[in-house]
Amino acid sequence: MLKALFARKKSSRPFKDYHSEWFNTLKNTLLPLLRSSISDSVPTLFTHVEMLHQHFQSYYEALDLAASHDVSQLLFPYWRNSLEKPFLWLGDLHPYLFTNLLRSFLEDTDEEEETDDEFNADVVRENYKYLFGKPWEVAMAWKNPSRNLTTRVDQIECGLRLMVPALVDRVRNAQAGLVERVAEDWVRYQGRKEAARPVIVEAVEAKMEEMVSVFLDANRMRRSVLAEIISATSVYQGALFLEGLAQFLVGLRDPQLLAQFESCQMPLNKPSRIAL
Amino acid sequence: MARKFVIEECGDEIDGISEKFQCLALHKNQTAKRVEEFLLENQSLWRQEQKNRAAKLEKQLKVRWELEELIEEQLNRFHAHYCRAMVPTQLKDVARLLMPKWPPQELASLTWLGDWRPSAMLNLVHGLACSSLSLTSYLSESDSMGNKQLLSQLIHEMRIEEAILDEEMAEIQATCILHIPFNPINNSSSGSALGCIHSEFKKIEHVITKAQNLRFKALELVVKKVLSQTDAAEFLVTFEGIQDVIHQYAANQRFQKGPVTVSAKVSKCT
Repeated sequence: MLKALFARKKSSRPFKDYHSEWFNTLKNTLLPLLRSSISDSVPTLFTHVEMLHQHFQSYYEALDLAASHDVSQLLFPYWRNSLEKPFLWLGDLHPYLFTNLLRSFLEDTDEEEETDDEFNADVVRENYKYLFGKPWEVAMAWKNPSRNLTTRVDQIECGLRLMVPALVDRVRNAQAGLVERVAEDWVRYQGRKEAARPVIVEAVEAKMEEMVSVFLDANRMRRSVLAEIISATSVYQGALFLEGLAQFLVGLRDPQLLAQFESCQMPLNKPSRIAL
Repeated sequence: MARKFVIEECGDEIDGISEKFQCLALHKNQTAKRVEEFLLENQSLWRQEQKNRAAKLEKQLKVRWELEELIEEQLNRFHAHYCRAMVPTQLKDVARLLMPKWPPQELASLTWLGDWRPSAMLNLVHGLACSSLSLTSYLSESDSMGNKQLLSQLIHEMRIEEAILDEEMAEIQATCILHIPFNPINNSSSGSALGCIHSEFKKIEHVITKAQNLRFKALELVVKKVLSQTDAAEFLVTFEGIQDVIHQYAANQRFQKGPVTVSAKVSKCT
C-alpha cells in the first residue's frame, strides 16, 4: 500500500502547482501571443486561437482527472484568491459566463447598428480609437454576425437553462439524502458517536461519489459550451472572445488589484461610493 | 323543670356508666389516642409524601424551564452567529464566508453559500422522525400525519427560497465578466476595477445575508413550530453531534489525502 502511495506521489503533483503553472502559461505566453496575432492579423492567429482554446480544454481535463483523488478540494479550491472564490460555481466559472461574454459582443454590434442610421461620428471615433491599429477584419469581427451564430447561441443558452438547474438540484438532493440517512443512522445507534461513525462515514463517501459525478458534468458543460462557441464563431470573433475571457482571469489575479482589494476598508453593508 | 330533672337524671346515669366502665374508658382513651396518633402520623406521612412529590415535580418543572431557557439561549446564539457575526462587512469577508476554513469534505457534504443548507436542517428532522426510536412525542401525537405534512410543506417552501438565492448568485457569477472592467473595451466607461468589484461584492453580500437569515428561520421553525420542547432539545443535540462526526471525518480525510493531486503526465501546460 505504501509502495502504491509513493508511486502515486511520484507520478502526480499538487493541483495547486498545476493551476499556478497553467495560469502563468495563459498570462505570460498564450494571451500575449494571441494579442500580437490580433493586432498584426498574422496567419498564426488561427493557431493561437486554437492553442488558447486547447489550454482551457486541457484545464478542464485536468480538473476531471484530479476529481477522482479529492473532488471536495476542487469544489472549494484553497489556492484561489479572495477575489476569485466568490465567482466560482461548482469549482470554476459559471457556464452562463461564456454565453454572456459572447452576447456582450453581439449586443455591442446591435447598438452600433442602431446608431449607424444616424451616423454618430463620436461613437465611431471612440470605437476606432480603441481599435486603432487593428486590422479591418478584427475591427469588423462582430459587424453583422451570421444568423447561424445567433441561432447557435440561442440553442446553447436553451440547453444551459435545462442543464444548470438540474445540476443544482442534484447537489441539493445529494445533501438532503445524506442528512436524512445520517439522521436515521444516528437514531439507530442512539446518538453514540463512536458507534454511528462507520455508517455516517459510508454515507459521506457515497455523497462524495455523487459530487464527483456532478462536478464532471459541470466541467463537461463548460468544455462543450467553449468548444461550441469556438466552432460557431469566425477566427477573429473567437480570438476576441478568448482574449476577453483570458483577460478576465488574469485580471482577477492581478497582484496590485488584489493588494488594494485586501486592504480595502470600505464597508460593504452601507451605501457608499469608492473614489479611486 | 321536668327538663332539668331529665338532665340531672341523665347526668347521674352517665356518671354511673362512666364509673362502671372506668377501666374500659381508660383503655378506650388510650386507643383513641393511638388512633389519633396513627391518623396524625398518617396525615403527616401523607403530607410528607405530597411535599416530596411536589418537590420532585417542581424539580422537573425547573428542569423544563431550564430546558426552555437553554433552547431559547441556543436560538439566540444561532441568531447572533448567523445574522450578526457571519455577515460580510468588508470585501475580503465575502470569500471567507462563502468558503470557510472547514475541511473541504465537510464543505462539500453540508454547505450551501457557506454553511448548513436551511432545507437540510428540516431534512434532519425528517430523518429523525422517520426512525421509530426517536422524536417519540412527534411521532406518537395523534396528528403526526399533520406534522409530517407540515414538515414536507416547510421543506418545499424552504427549497423555493434557496432556489431564488441560487439564481441571484448565479446571475452575479454569470455577469461579473461584463461588470468588472478588465477588458480594455470596458475600461474607459465603467470606472475603476476596485469600484466595480465593490459593487459586485455588495450584491453577493445581499445574497449571503439573506442566506444567513434563511438558515436562522429554518432553525427557529424547527425548534418553535415543528417540534415539542424535548424533541427540539434532541434535535439540537443531534444537529451538533452529526456535524461533529462529519467534521472529524473530513479533517481526518484532509490529513490523509493531503493536497489534491493530478497525474504529472497529463498536466503539462506547455
